[in-house]
Amino acid sequence: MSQIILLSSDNVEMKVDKEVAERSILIKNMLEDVGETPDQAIPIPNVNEGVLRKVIEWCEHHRNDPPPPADEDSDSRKKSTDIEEWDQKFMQVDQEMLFEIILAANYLDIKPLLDVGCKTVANMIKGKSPEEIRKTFNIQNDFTPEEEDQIRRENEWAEE
Amino acid sequence: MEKLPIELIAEIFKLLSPFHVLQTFRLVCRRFSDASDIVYPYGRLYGLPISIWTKIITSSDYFPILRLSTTCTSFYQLILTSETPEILRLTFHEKLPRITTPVEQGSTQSEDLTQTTQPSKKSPFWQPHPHLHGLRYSIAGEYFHTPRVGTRTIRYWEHEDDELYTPDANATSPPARSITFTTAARFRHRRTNEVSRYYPMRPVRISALDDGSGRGVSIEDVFKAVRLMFLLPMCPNEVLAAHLESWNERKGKVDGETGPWATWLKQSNGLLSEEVENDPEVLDFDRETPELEAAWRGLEPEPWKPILIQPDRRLCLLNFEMKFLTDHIMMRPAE
Repeated sequence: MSQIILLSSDNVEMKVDKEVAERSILIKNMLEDVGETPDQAIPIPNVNEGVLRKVIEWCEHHRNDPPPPADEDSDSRKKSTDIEEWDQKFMQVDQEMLFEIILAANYLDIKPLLDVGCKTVANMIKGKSPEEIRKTFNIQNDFTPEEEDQIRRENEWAEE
Repeated sequence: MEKLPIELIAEIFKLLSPFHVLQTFRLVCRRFSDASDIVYPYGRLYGLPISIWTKIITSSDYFPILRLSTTCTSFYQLILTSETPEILRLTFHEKLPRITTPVEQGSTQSEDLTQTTQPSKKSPFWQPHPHLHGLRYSIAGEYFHTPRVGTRTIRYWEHEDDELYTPDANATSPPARSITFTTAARFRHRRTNEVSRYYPMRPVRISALDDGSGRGVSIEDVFKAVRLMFLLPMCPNEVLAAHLESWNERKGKVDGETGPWATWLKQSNGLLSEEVENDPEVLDFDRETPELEAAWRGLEPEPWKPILIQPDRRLCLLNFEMKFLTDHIMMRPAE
């Protein structure tokens, strides 16, 4: 099994099975462009060591999963916010790490991991009021009272 | 959360009910509001207000809902948070098998979600609203008809805000035994003037009354009798008749229940879709739509900017059903 080296943004090298790394479409395309397994480390400038390790852990676990369908609309996975048990446990991290994983999945083009991350956040905000969401994610309400009132009025159709 | 770009927040929103995104999440902060606009521009899903989709869902039977729920995540989620359990109960007289469909599975989830944000069952949100109609949620329809009489095709544009017109001043037709209409619709936002793509409608055949006169029916007869946008493949004739009746009262263009159009409706009750389905002359929707679309694009009277995301046959048909319901409801507001 050939291996490649990934270099995190904080200059930590990690050896990974090529098959595992290729769960990332970004890396897969990069390797295809190069043509053969590179001797040098592949820099992943947007992802630090901790996050990259988590991403590799996810890719290791899902190494034998079939590739996601090209047609997003036919992808029934996206229709619900159900998450597999292993993925649920995997995503039991602090918020900072959760968002870093989502960003890394987006950057590395790992759609199934991005889906899991998005579903996790979706489940976190589902059923919450705006105030609860602000509290959960430490979000500042940056609307003026007039703007807030305007948005409420736009949605009166649902409140009457 | 501030680390996530708006596009990723939008991806998260796509996994949630459009109702909750618009009703709750867009109130959180400006970035959430922007993300909501990416997923549901102007509060619309496939070009139509979420409020209307909710109305469609709560007005539809089980099977259309089930079909709709499989079209995309947004509909699936919207159905989860609508009044589906009640619809299912009413539709099947409480004989529906348990936990066998996505809609059913979702119904248990929706109970928790709806406690805080679901509209109450008595919400008459379709009642003309001083803040909404003519503003954010207001859409005007434009319909492009290409009726065929024999081998002849005539182009008509029908604007909801204006009158019917044809670019061909000599576009008249002799009466015929029947006329096949292929119609496409697009929607224009009344405030921003943004225009959707054309949505093709299933062809509809209009047959002349068999009253022994042998007079036949002309395109002009049909247009005088009814605005064709209401000839919807998914709506049963009795609903159409009810609508025509109300439209008749409003416009005074049809001569009441005993008029030719009403008689035709009574005679053809239940036969319309079969007639269209089985007639080899009627265009096959699935097969011919790409060519029709290409032709329509070339014939459009003015440049347009697409705001709808994807063409889908089921959505097209549902769009028309929705359009019908919108007009139907607007003319008969809740008491």
